[in-house]
Amino acid sequence: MTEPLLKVTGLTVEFLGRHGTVRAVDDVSFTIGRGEIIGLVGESASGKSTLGLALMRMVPSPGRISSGSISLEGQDLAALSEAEMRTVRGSRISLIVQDALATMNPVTTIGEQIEEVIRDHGDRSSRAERMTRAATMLREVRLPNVDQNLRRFPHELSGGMQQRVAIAEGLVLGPQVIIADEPTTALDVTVQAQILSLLREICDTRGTSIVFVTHDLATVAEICDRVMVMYAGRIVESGTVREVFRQPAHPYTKALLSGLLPLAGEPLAELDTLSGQPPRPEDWPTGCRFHPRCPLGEALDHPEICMTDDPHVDESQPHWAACHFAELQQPALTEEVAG
Amino acid sequence: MTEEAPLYSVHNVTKDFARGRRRSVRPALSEVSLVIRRGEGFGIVGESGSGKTTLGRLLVGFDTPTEGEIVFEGRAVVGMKRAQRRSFRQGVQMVFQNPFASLNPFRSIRDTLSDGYAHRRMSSGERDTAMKDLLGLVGLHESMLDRYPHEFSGGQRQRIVLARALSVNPSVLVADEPVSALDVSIQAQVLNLLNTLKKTLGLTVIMVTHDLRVVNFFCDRIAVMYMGRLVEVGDRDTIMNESSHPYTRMLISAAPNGDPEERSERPWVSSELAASEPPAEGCIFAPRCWLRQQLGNPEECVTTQPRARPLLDGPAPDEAHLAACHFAEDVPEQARLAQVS
Amino acid sequence: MNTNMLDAINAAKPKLRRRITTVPVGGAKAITFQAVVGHRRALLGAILTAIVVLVAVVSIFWTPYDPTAFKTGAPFSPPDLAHPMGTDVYGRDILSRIMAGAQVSLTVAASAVAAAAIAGTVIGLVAGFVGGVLDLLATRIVDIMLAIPGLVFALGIVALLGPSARSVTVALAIVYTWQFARIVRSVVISVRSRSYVEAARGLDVGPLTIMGKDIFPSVLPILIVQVTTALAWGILDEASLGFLGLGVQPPNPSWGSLLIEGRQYLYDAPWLALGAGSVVVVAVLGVNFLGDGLREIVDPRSGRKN
Repeated sequence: MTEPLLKVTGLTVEFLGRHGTVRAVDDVSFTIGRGEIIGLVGESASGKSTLGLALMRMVPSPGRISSGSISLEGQDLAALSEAEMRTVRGSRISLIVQDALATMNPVTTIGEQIEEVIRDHGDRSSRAERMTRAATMLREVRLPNVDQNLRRFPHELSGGMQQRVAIAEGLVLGPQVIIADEPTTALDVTVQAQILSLLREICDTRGTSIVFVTHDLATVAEICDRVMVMYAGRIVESGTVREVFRQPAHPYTKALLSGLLPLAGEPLAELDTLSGQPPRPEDWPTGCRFHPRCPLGEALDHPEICMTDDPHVDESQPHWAACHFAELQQPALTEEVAG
Repeated sequence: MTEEAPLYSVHNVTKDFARGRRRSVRPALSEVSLVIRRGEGFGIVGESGSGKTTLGRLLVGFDTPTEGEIVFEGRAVVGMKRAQRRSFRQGVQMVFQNPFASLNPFRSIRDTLSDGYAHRRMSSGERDTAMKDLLGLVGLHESMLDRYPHEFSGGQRQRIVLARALSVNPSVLVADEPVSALDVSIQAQVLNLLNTLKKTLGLTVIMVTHDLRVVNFFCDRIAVMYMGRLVEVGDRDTIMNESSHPYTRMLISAAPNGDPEERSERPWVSSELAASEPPAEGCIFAPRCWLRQQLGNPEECVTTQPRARPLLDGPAPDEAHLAACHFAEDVPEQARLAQVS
Repeated sequence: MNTNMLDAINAAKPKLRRRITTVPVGGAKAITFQAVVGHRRALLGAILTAIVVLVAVVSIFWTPYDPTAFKTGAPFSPPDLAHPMGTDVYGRDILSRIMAGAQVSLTVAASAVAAAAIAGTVIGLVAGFVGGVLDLLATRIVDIMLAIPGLVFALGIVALLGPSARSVTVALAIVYTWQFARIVRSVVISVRSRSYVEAARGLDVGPLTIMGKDIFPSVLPILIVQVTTALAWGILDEASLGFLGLGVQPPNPSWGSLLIEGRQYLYDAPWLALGAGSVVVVAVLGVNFLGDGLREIVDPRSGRKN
């Protein structure tokens, strides 16, 4: 592999809560290459959205990045001042969220929203030129009737169109990385299908990289190149989408995948379930954070190492899982254990 | 299936929320007719604005139809006598989407569950036992009776909501997106529970959802809605694998298949953006319809609203498989052609 | 100012909103003893209110002098040890009169507000819950009543019933009812469509039980806030009506009538008006602080700040 575009090392985000400091994101490292879509999957409280915001240096108070580095083409974003960061946000790394409408100013038109973004990043061209640029961008995300829609207000558009405008706003300054936090979750499936293929196309034609934050494995399978599974503030498995889906090495990933019900064919008689629920940052278990819910641990009669030790991983491997017994997840071996 | 009378028959039901004499151009629900059989898992699927939730609420009796009639166990729901009305109300229970809004935060679980016993003569000891049994049934511990909703997670709350619904021994559960607000690993728990309850208690479960994966797992029969109309209804296998309506085909192919090796090709999915308003007289789906395009834009599609009709000439004749398309019989063949090209 | 910051704030917004909408309490946080003690303004308000109430209660059993007795000292004697707040034209002890006046003022304000709260809550609950024509009718009546200036309306009622403490209570109760009705109705409307209310209907629970068990608890915190605010107005309005000579009739004191007596001698014996005036200010301020504090405690949008 060539030099990665974005290299995150040991990123930790802490929140100051009523019960002291809690780590929402705990010592996370990964890299993203150019034009790559990397899925960040997790359940509620897994820290996936906080990690997304941390990459933008937008962790809401009382949270903060307490250690680690975010290196974008060799420049450490975590070390920049807020003023420096402002010039980076939008132009080199931008954010698209689930609720597009909430991020837009309700009293400015679609055209002005995007024109403002261009202007505020020091573009000295005329207003007309900036408007033309906005229109071009909106055409690129295939907003229909651009000339009319430029003059409309956000609430007058359908959910799918709003999300397109949000994508155009995120793209207009030509960022290298886009953080997309559940960008299609609120949309109908037919609209979701089109937004997903639009995002895919943007990566292919512009070489933009996307961090795709979601809870939905089906959309990950659809557009991501690589996937990272988060649980309790940590990445527990990372690899190419094909490998992770074909051969999940972490019991949690395996459980998530079996929760992905089939669309066609005969339905299952009964679903495999995980007991319990995802833990909150204030009461993360010791050792492997998944051990209280782990079906593999149960099959192995609760090995002590799971409760005491953090599983160590070799993050340089293309496919790794943070599990003491990752090898046992290979199909042949699992049968042995079960038998 | 035997010739048993259906549990529900919905006759030509329209629901218009517009007030006064003016009618909306497109009511929330238009001319829907279908039957629901006793003991089945019946799925109502559709996207936003399809009218699926409206239909669900009509079936529970939360709203009444503007036109048409809903018959439950042989009796029209509107105009029931007091005693009949009570047995209908208690016989049909609803499970809501958001488990955080469906429990009163100021009331303990015991207090909430006691609502179901309000009309029954029971000693407090009997009631206590009944409530504990109920919690056991939904997989919760009886010690949770005196706690308050905020002490529970989403999945546990949904179990409590189920327990409350079951407290009146209903024969029907209408579940509106019962798992979509829950974490993936919790969804499976709740779906399994619903499935077990359905089997052990002989419940009819009507599931209103946008999630095709959930209906494919849970339902015996499926109704597909689009813009307030029923477009297709039939057995799970028929709808999911051999559908005869172009919209159903499009909906299913739009859902990511979850397999990175085989990323979905979507020749049929048309943009909701480019679509013009549906013709006043014709088929509501016409502006987005791939089949219409493929057949060279037949006149019928924009002049006559197709009615949901039984498909008897198709490859698998079935009385209970209805589709609202002029060219429903051509769908399987045309779909194959579309995929090849 | 800076759109980058705006972007940042905006982006954080949906997350915040999600968190707020999952606040599990019925639109309002609970009022707890700890919350009141922890909130500086609410605590100060509670203490001031408690002092005023205590003075009123003590005055039932004991005042330094008989509040209506003449010549307890020399007329117009300025504050001294024997008469800490001076005496009036008849030599009556001002402190005793203020203490006895507290009884009247607080009783009138509290009874008026209690009556209004009960009537308003019933109107609001029924209108909001039943809806339809009844709601439409109730809303219109409330709108009309709120459009009439309260004090003018109260004046009319007192004029009709004849000046007395009871007339003032009735008048203020009628004036305050509509505000309560409106606030209660708006809460009921927002709670009515919640799933748990629908679920109760689906279980065939009676409407009275639903109102009592599922709806009223959500109304209560906001009602408490409104009661304290109305109390402050009640004390002021009672004083205003007393000042116009429409309240308690002489020689019995109330804060309003003490003010009117003091006004005549403002230049010669300023302590007359000043004494009664400052007590009104303290009482109103105390109750207002308490009301404001409670509102902030109840408001789900407020953080745990003071």
